[in-house]
Amino acid sequence: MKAGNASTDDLKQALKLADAQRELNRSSFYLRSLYESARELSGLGDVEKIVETFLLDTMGTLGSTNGFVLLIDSETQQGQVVSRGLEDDDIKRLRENMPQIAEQYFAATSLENASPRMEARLVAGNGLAHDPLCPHQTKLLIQWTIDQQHSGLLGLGEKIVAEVYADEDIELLLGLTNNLMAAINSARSVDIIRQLNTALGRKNLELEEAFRQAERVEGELDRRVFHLKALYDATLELIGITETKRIAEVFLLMTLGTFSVGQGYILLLDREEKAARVIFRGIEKEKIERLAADDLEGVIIKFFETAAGKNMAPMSARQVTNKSLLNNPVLPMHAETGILFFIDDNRLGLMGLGGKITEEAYSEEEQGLLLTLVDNFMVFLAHAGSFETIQRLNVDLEKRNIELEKTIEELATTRLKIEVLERAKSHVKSVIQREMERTRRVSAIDFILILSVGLVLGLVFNFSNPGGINLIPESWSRTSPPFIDAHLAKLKYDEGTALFVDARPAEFFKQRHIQAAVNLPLALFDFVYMMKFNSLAPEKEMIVYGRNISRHYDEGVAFKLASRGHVNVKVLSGGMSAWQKKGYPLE
Amino acid sequence: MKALSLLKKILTHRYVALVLRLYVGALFIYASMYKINYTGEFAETIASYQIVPYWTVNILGVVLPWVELICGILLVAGIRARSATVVIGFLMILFGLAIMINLMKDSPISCGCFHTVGEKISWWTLLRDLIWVIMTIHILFYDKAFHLEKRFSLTLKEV
Repeated sequence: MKAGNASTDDLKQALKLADAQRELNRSSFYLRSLYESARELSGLGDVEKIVETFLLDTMGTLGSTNGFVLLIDSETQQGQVVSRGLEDDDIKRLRENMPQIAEQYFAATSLENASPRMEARLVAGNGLAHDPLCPHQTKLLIQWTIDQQHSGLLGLGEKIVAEVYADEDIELLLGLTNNLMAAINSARSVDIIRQLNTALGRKNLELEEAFRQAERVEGELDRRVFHLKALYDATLELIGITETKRIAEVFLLMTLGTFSVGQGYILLLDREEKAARVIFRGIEKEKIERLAADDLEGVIIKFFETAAGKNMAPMSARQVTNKSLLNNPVLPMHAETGILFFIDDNRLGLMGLGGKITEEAYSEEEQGLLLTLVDNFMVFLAHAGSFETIQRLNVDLEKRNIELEKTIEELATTRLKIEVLERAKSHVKSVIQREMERTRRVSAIDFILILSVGLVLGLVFNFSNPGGINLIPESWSRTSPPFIDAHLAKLKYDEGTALFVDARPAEFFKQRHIQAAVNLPLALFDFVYMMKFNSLAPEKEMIVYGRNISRHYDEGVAFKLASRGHVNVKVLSGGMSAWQKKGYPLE
Repeated sequence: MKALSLLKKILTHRYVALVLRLYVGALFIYASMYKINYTGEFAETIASYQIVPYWTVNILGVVLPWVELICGILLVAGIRARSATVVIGFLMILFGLAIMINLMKDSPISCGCFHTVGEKISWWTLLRDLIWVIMTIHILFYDKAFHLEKRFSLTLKEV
């Protein structure tokens, strides 16, 4: 008995021990399960993976036939279903019921339903009402909440080996769920950290990009500054130069300096003057001198006929893209880059630059700068052209002025000449006019001339003519004969002592004469005297009469008679008219 | 009317005047020739007219033929023709007046127009003289053609 008792006690003890052992085993199993679950879950980063692993572990640990985990976002009432051993219909229904489930268990407003954070609680299980929203197999329902976005339900079906879940199972389940929450939380944290990390990485990249951008901008700015400086320098250098050649020289030198180029040339073509000019640097002079101006002109024009140079607007520049054109042997050298510039229809040109000293190719920016510089250069060229045109015009103007002055001088001289000629002409004209008028006019001068010439010729002829006559009346040079008046003469007549001599020409005598008078015309004195008077006594008294206004015949005859020795010759005073007046006899 | 104007045209034609001019000019040249050669006789003729004072007779006898000759030459040549015409006309009128006076005085003198001896003055002589005066007037007004002087002037004008 005692033994029996003892054995009973031992048995009891053994039972107790066994229980304790069992308990211990169970606890150990639980702890191990918890540990393993925790260890397994802690290695996972993905929530879905965690949930899946958890569900699998939990079902395995507890020996559930099926189970599900709903991951719910209580704010959006959306969620995810992870299940094992559930029919598709159940899963579908769960998905459909998600909002209602979220509403029922996780509505923020429902305080009583709200589970404390990071704590799992049993909301359905043995003795708890079955939730119709969950699949009918669900025996246990555990609610857990990490935060509003992360909460969920764990549902488990029947156990394989038992009808219901023991309390220990539930406890273990809650523990496991806590593990799940911790794992999810941890995974979430990791996820957040990862996200943050990714964001950081992205930010870093952006930052780097921004940095690079900044560097680029800085480089660009530097380039711009360099460009502007080059432009400024070019402008500064070119300002004040008015000669096209000098501008081109300075510009070429400066451009070569800017781009660190050793060789370069500028061809300038002036179509108006038909002159091609070469400005060069770093090229042998002999080579330039060999270039023919006509060829150069042809080449430049060829450039402008190509696609690069066609339809260029005035004051524009273009890069020569066709490199083969730049290798034309007529050109001074093989240029690496070339710029065509077109100032106006008459002036155009080509700039060629050799390779850089650094042997780098020309970048696009440099090409751009070159174009800008050439643009600037063209402005100066245009100005210089205008200036040269103005100068040329000025010179022309000066020449014209001189010519004009000369012309004016000539005109003045000519005018003077013309005036003199005009005066001469008018003088000649007036003379001619006068002469012509004089021929028409009867002038006193003509009379005087005619009379004078007549007088002179008459006198000269008379003097030189042996038969000339005496112009001075002879009576003036001799003493006048004695006169006898008519009365006394009548007495003598009556007495018959005196001979009455009629000195007038015979016609007058014949017409009328004193009775008994004898005609002795003065003109025929000698002849008649001989005939009639020769025998007359010299003492015979003779009374001579016969005179008129034009002739004193009586005096002449009396003188001649006296010269013949007749001493008593008298002239009848008053002549025949005095005789006649007294009524003395006439016949 | 037409005939009258034609007649007038003919009568006043410059060639008529030219002919008259040549005629009168030649007449005077001819008349002067004898007078120049026989100055004394011409002086007597002047004296026979009893118009000019005795102391001018000889001078006139010497000068007048030369004046006639010059005027005649000028008239024929067409040099200072108008002046010459006037002088000739004036002489003609003088001669006419002298003839008329002597006709009225019934002086038994010869005309002495061309020769000292010869025709006696008569009314016919006066008429002839008058005709010559008319000719002179015609010349004075219508003479335009063939003047040596004009030729000379025209040439000058052309120059």
